[in-house]
Amino acid sequence: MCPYINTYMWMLSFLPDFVIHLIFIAGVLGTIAGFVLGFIPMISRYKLPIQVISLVLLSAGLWFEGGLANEARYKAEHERLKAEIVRKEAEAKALNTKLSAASAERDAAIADRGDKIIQTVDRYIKGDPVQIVKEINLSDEERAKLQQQIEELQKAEKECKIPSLLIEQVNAAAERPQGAKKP
Amino acid sequence: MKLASIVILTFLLSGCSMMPKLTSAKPKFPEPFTDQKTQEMPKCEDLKMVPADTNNLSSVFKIIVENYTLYWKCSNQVDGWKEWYEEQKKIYDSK
Repeated sequence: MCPYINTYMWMLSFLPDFVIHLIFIAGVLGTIAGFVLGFIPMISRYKLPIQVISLVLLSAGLWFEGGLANEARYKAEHERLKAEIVRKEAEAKALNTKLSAASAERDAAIADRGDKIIQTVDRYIKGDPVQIVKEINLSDEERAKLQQQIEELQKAEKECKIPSLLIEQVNAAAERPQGAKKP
Repeated sequence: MKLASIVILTFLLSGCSMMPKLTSAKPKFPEPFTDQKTQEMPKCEDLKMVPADTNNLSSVFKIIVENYTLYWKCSNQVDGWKEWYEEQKKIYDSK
């Protein structure tokens, strides 16, 4: 049955609404006349044809009235969903812009922090410990401690050799694990 | 006649409930957020290697710090994706 429904309902698309209302009203009036007003002589003469035709009209009218009501509901819901989709897509786009900017900001802060640490240690290694601690606002105790640490670092930089085996193992740990996807 | 009328009416009225179901339109799957510079989806870079001929601590230290930076950048991306999913889901599920 279902596949045939749309075949009949396509009529809704070209029949003006008032025609459907007229069919329905004619069906209702005809049914009342055929079944209730049978005592009137003129009607009683054509009682059966009136009953048959009005029932057909009433049925068709009811059918299409139902279709009209359903179509109106369908259209309203469709419009609501369309508006909702447009709103959601706009919100999703705005969110992407916001997240992209926030991520870029965090990325920049992370890179900046790494650069600063490298620059600081580079300065400790290459500079004069006494001069460096003079430029930093510290208590005497803290200054003495930092100077000692810098001297220790400079000594390690000059004297400590890095074993090649250690480099190999560090690099092995930094390698992308087997099976891990390459970006 | 009356019985036939009732049967026909019942049969035809049932057609109303067979109208096409309401639209099941959905919003498009949201586009992923992209890197502002490359306009591509962000990726985690490979970690840096210490050159085999390295013979001082500072060079190793530099590579280690750079690798920590790469890690935190990647962590930032993963957190970003989680936030993206959660926020996009809220929008998608909203009425």
